[in-house]
Amino acid sequence: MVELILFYAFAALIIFSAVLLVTARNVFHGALYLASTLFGVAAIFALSGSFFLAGIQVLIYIGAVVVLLIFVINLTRQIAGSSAAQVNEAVVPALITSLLTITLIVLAVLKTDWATRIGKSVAQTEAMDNTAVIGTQLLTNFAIPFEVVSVLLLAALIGAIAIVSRDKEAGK
Amino acid sequence: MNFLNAMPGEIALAGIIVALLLLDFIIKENKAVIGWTFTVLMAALMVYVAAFKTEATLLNGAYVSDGLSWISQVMILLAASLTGLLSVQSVKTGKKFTGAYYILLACSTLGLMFLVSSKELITLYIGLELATVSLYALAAIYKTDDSSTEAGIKYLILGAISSAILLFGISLIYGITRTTYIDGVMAYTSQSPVGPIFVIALIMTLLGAGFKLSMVPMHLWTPDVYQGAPTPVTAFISVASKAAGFIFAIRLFSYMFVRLDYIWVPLLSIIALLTMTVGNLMAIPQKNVKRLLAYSTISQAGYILVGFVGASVIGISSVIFYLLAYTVTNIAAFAVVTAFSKATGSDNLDDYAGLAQKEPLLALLFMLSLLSLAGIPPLAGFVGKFYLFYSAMQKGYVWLVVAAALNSTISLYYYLLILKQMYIFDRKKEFPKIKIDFSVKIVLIFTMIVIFIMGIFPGPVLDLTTDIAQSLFFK
Amino acid sequence: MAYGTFLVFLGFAVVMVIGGVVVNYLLMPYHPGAEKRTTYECGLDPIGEAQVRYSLRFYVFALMYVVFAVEAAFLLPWAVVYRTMSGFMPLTEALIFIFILVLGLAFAWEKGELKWD
Repeated sequence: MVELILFYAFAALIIFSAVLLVTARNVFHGALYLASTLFGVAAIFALSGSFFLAGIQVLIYIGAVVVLLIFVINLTRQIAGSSAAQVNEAVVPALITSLLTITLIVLAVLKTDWATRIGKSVAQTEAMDNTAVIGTQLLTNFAIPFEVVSVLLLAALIGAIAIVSRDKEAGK
Repeated sequence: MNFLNAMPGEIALAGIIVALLLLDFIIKENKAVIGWTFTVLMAALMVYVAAFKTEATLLNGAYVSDGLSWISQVMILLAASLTGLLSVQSVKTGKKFTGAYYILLACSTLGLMFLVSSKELITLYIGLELATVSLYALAAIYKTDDSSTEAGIKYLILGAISSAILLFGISLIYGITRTTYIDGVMAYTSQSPVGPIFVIALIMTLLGAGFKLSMVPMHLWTPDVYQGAPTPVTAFISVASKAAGFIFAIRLFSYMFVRLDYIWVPLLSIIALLTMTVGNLMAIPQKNVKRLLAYSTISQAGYILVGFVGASVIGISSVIFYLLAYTVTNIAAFAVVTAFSKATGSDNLDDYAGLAQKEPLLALLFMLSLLSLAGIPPLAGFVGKFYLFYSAMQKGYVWLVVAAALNSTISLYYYLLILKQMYIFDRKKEFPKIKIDFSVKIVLIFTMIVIFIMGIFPGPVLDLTTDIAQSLFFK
Repeated sequence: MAYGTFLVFLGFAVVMVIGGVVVNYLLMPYHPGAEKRTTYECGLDPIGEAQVRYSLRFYVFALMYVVFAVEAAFLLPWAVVYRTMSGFMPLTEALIFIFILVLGLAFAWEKGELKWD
């Protein structure tokens, strides 16, 4: 019961701050709402028993990505200072598309029999330590993606430096 | 579980990335060496992968070396080495980041190689991300050029959205089937009935994969990115990244969802029709050659989707064949654009006026590659298209084949517009003499030979692609 | 009841933070003045707005922080199971992972991104 109440509370927090995020007039405030949205997601992870993911969500997304985002916003004074609306003229088409998509997904989710499915999987994983399961998987079945992730991070780092860094002789 | 024997190409390429990085640290002045090293190593790796075909399954079937991954790795490495050749003498990134350019190209190639060999959705997704993240940076590598920066930003934002859609689809598939292995999902779909949520998951993965293919609802990034990115990068995006995207689609639809073809075949046939038509109609008014080629590649993607609609073995075989033909043809077209824009600094169609008088050879090569794209015999594009349409006929999709044939005619119209500029109009202003660089010459000679061989003697290649398509289903 | 401990912990955390502020508020003497309302009671007066434009250098540092935070996130589950696994495979995998990322650090260093000129 407590879990259910907490779940709905955090779900409401996610939706509330997500809506504020896209409608915020100041990008900086938008970034803070993003942090609050991501915190809600972390809480949902924790409620689902995945404490590792919850921790990672806080560490990476709130601790690193949002900080990076705030840095980038502060790099450009115009964006940080002005209060440009984040909503463009196509509000109505965007609303219609989003509502249609939501309706479609919700209807399909309601028609699916999740109860048996999820009951089974929860019973299986609850006994084990979540982090250890992820670690074992990373080292055995997911060894290749594990290594590829490091190349991915390398490529992202090199690419970002190549684009951002000042380069006196860069020609056109 | 011996990784070195099962995936020598990927491990070697990872080694090449490290070597290029170290080379970039050591060589301070003559940075062209890095470009040549990249090109030669890619070509050598391609020959190695092509010569020593491995058959292996790693990590409980998450990663395979089969015929499909073999031929697409050869195709990707070919595209990478040709892109290297196009870049060596024409990409000007400044000394400081020349090394980064080739390292990113190598990273993207590695990602695509992982993508085509994965048979597990998370592995697939990581490979896809590695390939695209490197390409985002490559598209924006001319940081002082506004259109290049714009290309990078548009590619990044739309790419991120499509990744999100794809991930949502994958997570739904995992939620329903409780497995991320392609074989496992296939087994699930043949045992249990699928509900509406599975259809939504299928559509989401289709849209996510469709971004790489520039399939119609997901095609909006293509013209701007193709126009703004450095021309060799455009060639790589249009060829290697797209080819890998189609292999991804083969693994997803022709294999994983093969039992659900009653859902995705009608959907894909409509998308194929839209993709062809939108690409062709939008190409007609274009004034910029790179933008025109962008719309032309959209329509080419539409033709390739026709092969997916076709009967399974012959359809996949025709898709692979067309991808091979399309790879060399498109690289040839972009090689001409690279040479022209390096000499004149322009990509405008009007500036091509009278090219045939001054540079008859360059104009002839451009004409041949455009005619191959349009599907005129005896060039490679003709055989490829014929075979694609034939496979759809087998399955009874006559209306789609008729529409595709009509679209081919439309495409001929705008290809002929370029030819008219080059052959009939007089030049309006004087250009410097166009000197085709040595490296670009190699690309042009090589691609022309392949275009003619595949057009005149398609037999051996067709046998090969048919074998590969068969081995996918009947072990 | 898995969340019982967590909730108690959360409750304590909230009480510690809010309670500290509240107790402080209740106990503090209240003598406002113009001098006390400035941002810093002593030292220089602040100049300009609080939201200033950062140097572009910060971006590279923040980005590297993100990259290495992700690395740490991947090494955490590895560290949890490391002792339970036998052979050199886990060690090799982690070493390759770290080596590739160190190359990225070396790249940034070589290109002079870590220097504040």
